[in-house]
Amino acid sequence: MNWVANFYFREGPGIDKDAPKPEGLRLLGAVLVREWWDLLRLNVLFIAACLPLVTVPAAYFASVSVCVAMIEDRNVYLWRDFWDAFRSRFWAATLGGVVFAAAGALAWLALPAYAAEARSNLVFAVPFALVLAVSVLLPLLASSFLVSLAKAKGRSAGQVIRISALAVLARPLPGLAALSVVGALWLAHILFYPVSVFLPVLVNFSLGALLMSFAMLKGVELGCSQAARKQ
Amino acid sequence: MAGISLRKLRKTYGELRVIHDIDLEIADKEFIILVGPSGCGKSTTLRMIAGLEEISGGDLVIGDTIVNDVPSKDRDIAMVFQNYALYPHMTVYKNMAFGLELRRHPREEIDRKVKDAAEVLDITHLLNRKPKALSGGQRQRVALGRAMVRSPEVFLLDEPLSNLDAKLRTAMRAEITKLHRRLDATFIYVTHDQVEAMTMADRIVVMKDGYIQQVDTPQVLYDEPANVFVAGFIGAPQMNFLDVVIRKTAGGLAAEYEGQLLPLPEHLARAVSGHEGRNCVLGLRPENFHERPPVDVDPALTAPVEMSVELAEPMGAEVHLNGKLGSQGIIARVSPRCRARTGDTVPLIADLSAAHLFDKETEIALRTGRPAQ
Ligand SMILES: Nc1ncnc2c1ncn2[C@@H]1O[C@H](COP(=O)(O)OP(=O)(O)O)[C@@H](O)[C@H]1O
Ligand SMILES: [Mg+2]
Repeated sequence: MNWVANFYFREGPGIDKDAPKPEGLRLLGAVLVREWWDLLRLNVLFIAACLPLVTVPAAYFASVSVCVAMIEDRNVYLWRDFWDAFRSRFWAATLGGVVFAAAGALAWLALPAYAAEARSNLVFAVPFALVLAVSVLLPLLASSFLVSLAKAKGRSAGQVIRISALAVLARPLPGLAALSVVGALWLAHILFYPVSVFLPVLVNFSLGALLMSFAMLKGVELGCSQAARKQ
Repeated sequence: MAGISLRKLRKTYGELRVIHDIDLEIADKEFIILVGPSGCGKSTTLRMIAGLEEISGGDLVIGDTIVNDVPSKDRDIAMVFQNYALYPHMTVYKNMAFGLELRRHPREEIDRKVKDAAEVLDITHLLNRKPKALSGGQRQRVALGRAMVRSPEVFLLDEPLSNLDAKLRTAMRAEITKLHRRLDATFIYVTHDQVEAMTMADRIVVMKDGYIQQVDTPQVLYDEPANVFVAGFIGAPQMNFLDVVIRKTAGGLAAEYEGQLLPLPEHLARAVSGHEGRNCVLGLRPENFHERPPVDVDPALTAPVEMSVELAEPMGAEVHLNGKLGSQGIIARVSPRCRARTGDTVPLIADLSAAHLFDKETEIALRTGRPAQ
């Protein structure tokens, strides 16, 4: 047993204080390596918190807020911080959820209608393209909104919305990249069902929240600093 | 809070007595170091103060309350162990916060204390890391931080640096001294390393076999050791001991060493006056041998000696000569200009004004008053 303990308690190489902070994908990798266990737990916690259904937006916001803390290398007490976030922004998150869900549903209905019209009359191609763009941007906007909510202590609703819109406009590409990875995750789940049933149970939600938050965080920070400058 | 008193404190394991009725007064905010060879009972004493070890006899008094039966957690004391004892599955932050969480401190207070301690110890960048990646020195800082967040009145540290390499140990010594000044708390520190004790302590407690040998400031301990053990334990290279016999001479009393008469300074001579023929041990530190007559010493208190060198160790700033004075081994510290080689015989001047004299039987120091400076 002693060698187990020795292995477990053996001295590490040390952590350089002045080492440059990892950026971009390296940072993402570091977060994944460091927090993988908490991400698995977060996934389960999220699913459990979603069970009453009306709690889905708040639960997702709580996940995003935990993910932001992980990315920012802050200390996370998973259970405590999750429920803190869940409670503190329950109504804002729920309201946002309803709005985005409604917008999504509208786009979902409008898309096939415009598509059908566009086939007979080319004029309808313009609104079709617009609605398509909006429906792709909606998840980005939603993520950006939640990240802003997590970051924007003491800001008004208008400011939060402005910051999240600015974040999407400033850096849409990382968001789209993250969105496609998340899409691929779910596609994998569907394609390999039922073997892949563990995917959503273990990682899909928390990893998705992490990826989307990671993609939007820089833009939100930009927006926040702009808003601060204006004041 | 006032000081800590050990009154006839005793520890026995069955028949085996490991701490023998020791008395010690520790002042408030003092940095006191228990030093002694391994197994002399330093850790046991510290653990009794901490409340981790039952007290077999005597009283432990903190302020003016006897705390023999006060449980450890109510003693306002924090202990830092040699092996860090960090929880490997928790981040540094959580390791530091854990004790406060158990005591249900408010969350904001815990956060503030952890971050303040991290700032002082320069480990803010480690807060969200697990101990696995940390080096020994970083772990030791975390262990210190964990004690600090409780802001105890008394810190107990049991060989906190003994797992570190030499360079880091030197750096951490200075850090701990600074920390003591900054925290304004009582530090009781255990080590077997006399250098650590000499460099850090306000006062040193030298222990051996469960007895306290001497309690004094580092300088007094060095200049006026109470017995042969303390004289040999404090100082490196250690003091040289020569078997001598007290003789009467025309000028007063002298110590005869293998036929040569070595003059004794006043405060030693007075202590053995009337004891001609008594067997004693003469102590001379390695730095009391010189290549040429020392300028600030009365020539009447020096004696020329011949040392046969067996090994010359260059240390850079000085050379340690290992060899023999007559039949007994000694070490002399001389300047690096000394070109002595193995097998050489070098003439040296012994400075007897700095000598120590001990009784051959009891090994207790013989002196009256302080040595003339
Ligand atoms: N649980 C025990 N049972 C019996 N003897 C013990 C026990 N713990 C320590 N000792 C003995 O007590 C003496 C003092 O130990 P300790 O205080 O650990 O010494 P130090 O810290 O100075 O090296 C040692 O001789 C040791 O063998
Ligand atoms: Mg010990």
